[in-house]
Amino acid sequence: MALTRSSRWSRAARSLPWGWAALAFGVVALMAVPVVSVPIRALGPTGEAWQHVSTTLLPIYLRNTAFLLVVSGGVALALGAGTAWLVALCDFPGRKHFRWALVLPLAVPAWMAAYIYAAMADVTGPIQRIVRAVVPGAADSFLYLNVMRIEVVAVLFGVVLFPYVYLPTRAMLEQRAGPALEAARLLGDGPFGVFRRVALPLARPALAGGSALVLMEVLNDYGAVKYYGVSTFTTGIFRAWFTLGDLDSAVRLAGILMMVVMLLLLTERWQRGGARYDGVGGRGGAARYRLRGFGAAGAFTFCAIPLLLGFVIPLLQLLAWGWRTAPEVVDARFLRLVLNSLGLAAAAGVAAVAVAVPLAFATRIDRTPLIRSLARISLLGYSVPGAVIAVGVLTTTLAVDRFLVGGDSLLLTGTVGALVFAYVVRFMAVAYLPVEAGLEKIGDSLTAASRTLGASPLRTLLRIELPLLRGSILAAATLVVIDVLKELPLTLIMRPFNLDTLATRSFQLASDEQVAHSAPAALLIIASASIVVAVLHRTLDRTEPFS
Amino acid sequence: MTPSDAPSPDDAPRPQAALTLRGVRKRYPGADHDALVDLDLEVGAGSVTAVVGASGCGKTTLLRLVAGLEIPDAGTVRIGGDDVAGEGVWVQPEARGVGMVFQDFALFPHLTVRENVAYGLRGMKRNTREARVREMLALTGIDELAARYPHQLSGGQRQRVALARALAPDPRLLLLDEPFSSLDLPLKVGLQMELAELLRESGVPTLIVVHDVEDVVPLAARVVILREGRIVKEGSIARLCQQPGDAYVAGFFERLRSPTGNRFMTDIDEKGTPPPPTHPENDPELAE
Repeated sequence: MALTRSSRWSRAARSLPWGWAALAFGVVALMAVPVVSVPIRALGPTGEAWQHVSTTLLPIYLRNTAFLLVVSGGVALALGAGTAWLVALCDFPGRKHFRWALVLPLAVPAWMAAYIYAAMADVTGPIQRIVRAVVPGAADSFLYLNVMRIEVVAVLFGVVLFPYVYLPTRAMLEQRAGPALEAARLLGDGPFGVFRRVALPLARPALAGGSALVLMEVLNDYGAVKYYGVSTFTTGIFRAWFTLGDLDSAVRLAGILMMVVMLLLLTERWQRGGARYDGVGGRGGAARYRLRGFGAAGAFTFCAIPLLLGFVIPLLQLLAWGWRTAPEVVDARFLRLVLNSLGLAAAAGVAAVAVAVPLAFATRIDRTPLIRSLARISLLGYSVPGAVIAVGVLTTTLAVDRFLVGGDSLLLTGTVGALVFAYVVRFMAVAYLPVEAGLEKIGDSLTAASRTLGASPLRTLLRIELPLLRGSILAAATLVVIDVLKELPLTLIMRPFNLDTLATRSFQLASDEQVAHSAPAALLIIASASIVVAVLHRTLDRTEPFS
Repeated sequence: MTPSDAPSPDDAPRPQAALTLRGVRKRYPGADHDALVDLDLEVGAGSVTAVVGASGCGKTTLLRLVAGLEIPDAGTVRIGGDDVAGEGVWVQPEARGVGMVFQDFALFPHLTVRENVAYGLRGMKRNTREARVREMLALTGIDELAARYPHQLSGGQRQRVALARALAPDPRLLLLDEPFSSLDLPLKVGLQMELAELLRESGVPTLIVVHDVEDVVPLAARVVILREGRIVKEGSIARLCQQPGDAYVAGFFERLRSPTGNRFMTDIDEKGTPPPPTHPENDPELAE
């Protein structure tokens, strides 16, 4: 009898009440529709415009995108792995400062770095001014520095995105590879041998995970490639839609881009799946190599260059421009921009958390593979470029509009609500993962205690779990807010007419050759992102790297 | 030769110590006390010395200083007659010729057992290297496991691989850091016996650190008791067991002294010579 009751209780504790189940399914469906609709619609019949796009433009998009992925990925891997190795395993002047500072380039959106460097290399930019001032006889001459090239934008991506590789690789080397690296040294291997034969293979999962993030950001970019005149899938989607007025071609391009992303994700999963390193190599950090003289100078330089290029130089340039243009730019209109950005970001943050929390609870109550898989589907948006999400959301809202009010007017399309919904689809993972981690930290015992004291799942949620989750929920909402502040392609496509944000205005001014006037908005974005990057770094420091 | 010219026993050249530490001191940055305080220690050629102490007494720091993974604040470290750390001297860990078995074995997870054991054998012809690997695998009884990866091995098998890997380059000194801490009792006793035989066969001088003196009864001729970074007692297990001197030292031997204590103790003679190895399968106590 006792056994029967106990097994009934455990079944009841693990199964999802129907209300929760319906909510979870509803959330997943809402999140998945815009993402899934793209590849489905891309399979539809083709028109004439697609014939043109596929024969003349598609090969260029493919070639440029492949070039960007290979070069940006290579630069980010070299910088990320190199700096991680130096910071985790070598002692040299400045190491402790580099350890946190090397994360800062993440606060500079790639599109912003792109136009800053283009302006710096311009005839009136600081690089040429310095050359004219320093080189004798060059005072009246003009250099033609053509930086608007795909090679430059590829390297820039690597320079601002390398912290995605640096962070997990450093964490891996600091926290989980120490004994294996020390064993290699004691077996007579020098620094290069230890790096090549032990550190790199051990860090493979971290390198693969970090590189995948870099490549997804490269695929997501619209601003940098647009500014440098490089045709890729995202610029192609914009062109098909706004210039050719051909939604079908835009959807088809978005579908191909999604296939590239899925291929990337599968490769990354396969790379991680092959490694069964957990707990075998030992835990803890390794004794550091003491670098002196040329070695120390080399290490310092290797860490300083990406930090300078990816953060310090863009920031100083923006400060110089901002100082000059702020009195002109910062007015009532600028304040409206700030309010627009903050309002949109806050709405997206609240909405994303409101969706993420019930979903996280659903997976906690019912731990069946079905619910977990559903939760993962709703996180897909984060891997999908903003332009694709925009296409997916727009086609969905257009269909709903047609269904609700016929083809004459638009109810949802082009509204702030649709934009916020698109943000939630795109950044759902950013909201969900901290909440899930918070729930895991709380553990099962408090929930079990509450349930055994007669509380329903809802009462347990409201009285016990939500108050304990406050920190995680706040972190999740803040992360979404910052991501939305930096977001560009999705906002450019989805925003209602005459609605500008800090990011769109900054990009617009830069595109209109008013780069210096874009600085105040850009500085606000970098400042807010820097704070979050710093907080995130501290949090990551206390947790395990992925492996 | 006059009687005065005849060498007295004191004048006879002493065999060179495998490891000598003199006045070694170490304090970690931010710590309010020394991890090791003016430590003097010697490990004789071909002998096995065990350092025993409670958690945080400086045992692992001592091993890491000898291996070159930490730098002493003061004092000298000499391995096989060569100064490796001291005033103006610093030899990198990879150049010290020291083999080490880590507490969690630190096997390279991406390499097979064979590749793990071959890792330290560089500058050898391929045939010689392979012969050495085969020899080590046979010595540690893991020939059958050569193609496996570490995650496919049990705890005891991992320990054997770690030992084979450390012994393969023929080190001048072997360091063992809590080698039995992650093993269950029957496995532990079996491996203690095998390790004792293996160390006797190889003749490699060994420094082993443990927190439980029982772990080294069949292994070590000499035991050093460490407390708060200082050596408080040293001698053979039998002598320390009978004359611990103070309560701290006595605490380590309490179980050995009890009538139902360590089964090896009945076989230990006054000089502290360990008993011949017995396989656990033949041990009625463990067979239960």
